Amino acid sequence: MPKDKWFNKKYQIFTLGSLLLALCCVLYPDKVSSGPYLDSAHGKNTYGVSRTSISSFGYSVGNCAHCHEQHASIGGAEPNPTGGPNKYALFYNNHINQTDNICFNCHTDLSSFQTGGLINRSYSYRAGGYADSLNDIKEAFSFTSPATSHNLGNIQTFINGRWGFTNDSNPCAACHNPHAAKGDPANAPNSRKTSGTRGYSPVSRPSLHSKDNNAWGLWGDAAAERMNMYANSFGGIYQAPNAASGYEPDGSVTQDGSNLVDFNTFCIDCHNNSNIIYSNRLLRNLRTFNWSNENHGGYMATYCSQGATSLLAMPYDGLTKCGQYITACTDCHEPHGSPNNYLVRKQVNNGVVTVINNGNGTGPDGRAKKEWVYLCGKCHTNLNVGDLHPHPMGGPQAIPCVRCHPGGGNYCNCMDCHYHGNSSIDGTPYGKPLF
Amino acid sequence: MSFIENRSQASDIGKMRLKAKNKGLWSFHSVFFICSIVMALWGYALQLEAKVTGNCSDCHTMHNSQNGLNMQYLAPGETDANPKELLLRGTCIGCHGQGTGRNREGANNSIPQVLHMNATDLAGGNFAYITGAKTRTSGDSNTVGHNVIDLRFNETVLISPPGDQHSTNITNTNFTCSGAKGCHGDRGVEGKLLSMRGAHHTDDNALRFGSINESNQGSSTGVSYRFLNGVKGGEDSDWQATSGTADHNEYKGDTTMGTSSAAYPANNTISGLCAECHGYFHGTTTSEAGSADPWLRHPTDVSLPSSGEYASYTTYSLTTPVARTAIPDSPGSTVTPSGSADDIVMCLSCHRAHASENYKMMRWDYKSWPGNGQTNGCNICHTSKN
Repeated sequence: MPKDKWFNKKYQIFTLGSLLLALCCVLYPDKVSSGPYLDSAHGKNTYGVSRTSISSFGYSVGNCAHCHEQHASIGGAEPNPTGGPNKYALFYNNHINQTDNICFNCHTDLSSFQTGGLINRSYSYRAGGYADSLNDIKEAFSFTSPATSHNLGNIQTFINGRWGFTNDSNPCAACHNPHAAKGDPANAPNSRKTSGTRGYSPVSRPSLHSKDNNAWGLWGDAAAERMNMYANSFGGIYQAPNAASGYEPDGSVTQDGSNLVDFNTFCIDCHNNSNIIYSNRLLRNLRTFNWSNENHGGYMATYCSQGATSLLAMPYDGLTKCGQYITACTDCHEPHGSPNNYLVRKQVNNGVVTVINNGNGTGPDGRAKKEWVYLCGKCHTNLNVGDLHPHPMGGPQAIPCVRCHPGGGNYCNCMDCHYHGNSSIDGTPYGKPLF
Repeated sequence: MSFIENRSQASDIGKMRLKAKNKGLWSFHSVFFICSIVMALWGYALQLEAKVTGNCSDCHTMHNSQNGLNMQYLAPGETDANPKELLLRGTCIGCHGQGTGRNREGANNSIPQVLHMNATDLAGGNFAYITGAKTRTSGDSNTVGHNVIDLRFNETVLISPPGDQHSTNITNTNFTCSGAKGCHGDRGVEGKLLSMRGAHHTDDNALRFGSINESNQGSSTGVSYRFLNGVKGGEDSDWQATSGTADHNEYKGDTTMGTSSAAYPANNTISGLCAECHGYFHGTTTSEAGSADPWLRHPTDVSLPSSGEYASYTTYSLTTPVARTAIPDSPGSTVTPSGSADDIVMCLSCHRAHASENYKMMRWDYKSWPGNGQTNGCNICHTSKN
């Protein structure tokens, strides 16, 4: 083809393409650009919010009206549930009590206002592959003693006046931005996390709370907000626990925490060494602690081997990586609720945990008051009868035998000394955090 | 008498006749000139002072009969050709709902149409979406507009205004354009035509850009925004037949909702007018919208907050317009969220007054968002909730 004809043809194609593009801009000037809400679990048009009484009017999935009633009236009457207008123009009271909250109107598997109900699994299920029966958020917050749930009333009391929260704020919003939170994985409630279906992230830091959705973003969606970065900031490493298959949280071979939300920074917004948080359940203030100075945190404990024997269970290496490990809060704790005390997970490092007597129950070796070994023994291998002694026997760290062995084959409760923020034994400063 | 004498006499007579003629001409010219001046001034005054111009017979008929024919303007489907009150040649819809392809009729496009087939709807919307003459995007004839009975498409679901706090006694069988059972005119007057008496002939310069004077607005129907008795505002000269960010109506708003009533708009605002019938949707009590954030219902007559996502709304949006606490003398293209003064969220920020192509008279297809992939007008103010 002659050069000039070739050029003309290319020019014609370019011109036509430009015209078509311009035509699209004219014909479709108002195409929506997807923002944080439309990317969220609530806002997704395919599987987002869909209140049955609103969808019956033909409102699109994800529409604001499913949560916010502009006039508390459609077609001359208030859509279900009725009860008059509510603050934030919500369809229900933001928060009434532990099990009565606008979120639970939909986040429940039975009698849900969300079309088809909503399934939400435990963290042990999603991250660890643990097949527990808990299947909705309302259930997770409904645990009663000895089981535990994050106390929503205490949360609401704590956040009131902080970070833009008020007495009208929903305690769920202390951890979740309802206009941004994503499922992980998204729209797969009965699935565990997998590397190919991650949805970073469900949480937003309370300290960054804002009504501006662009200011109150997701926490953990950026690479800098992952556990590996948190651990590295202390010069340590994160080692993912075992899951039912592969490693937490997504069953892949990734172990360094680059695929795990930095839950430590998230939780520390509230649970730190200065905030006073009262617990209606414990009838006292929660322990204050500085995770960067805790053995499982930035302090990076060094008692993980004896001679050539590692005192840590796989995948932790007490011989070559002792003094480097930093754990994540979610390695041991459920965020919402657990059948165990202190929101301790039912499954830790791919092992079942039962702690329902505040440590006073029988441990795996049948000894009384060794109940905590069900948890701690998932990572520490020297806690049962016949194992290498768990505590230093001599030197400046030695503890009198009778302190732990009061006689008669009995033990003291591990929690007498081992709890967040404690670095003393029987009131005597010990110089280092014990937990 | 000699010829010379005759010629002299004739000259004198001629001069006298010429003088008389000139005097007559002068008188004629003087009268003509004076009359012209008077007519010019009268005509100019008419243009200055009267809302409407043109022949009286354009709107009125003495006998409702001309060459044996009645003189009524009938809207499509109207059959009542009987004479009307105030010697009018038609009802509201007869003049303002002619159902043609023009959104303004009459000489100089002086009669805004509220029911028409033109592609461009005027600011108030178009009743054609109720009748189905124009295609709706969502909703049905019951849900896209105010079903005034004049359209003969009565509401079949609602029997009273939603949020009818003040017991207006408006029903789906008596709701009309004006008067006590309508929106325009003096809502204290029962008859819809009588409620508009004199309004069209009133000097409305105080409502026009270039001569806005709020202190002269609202005292009667004729000096009220769009004949909405008591409502203040700035009237776009072509009813937004053409429009832009600096070419539009200016609506009156306030930083407080005031107390609504059945027959007068609280704080002279456009939202206060809506509250006459939809009182529960506008007010500070716990059965209304509440007194402050967090609101019980979407607030109106509140100032856009100055911080956060609202601060990004800085250019006037025709999709989601704001009201002003002070009507400017020319339409403003800027929005200044301040939290304490301009700019004001109003009912018309989200709804059309007459009817729209969308469910619930919304200015955009709210119900179908986000599934329709279109812009959500909510995001004009709630800029981060997209």
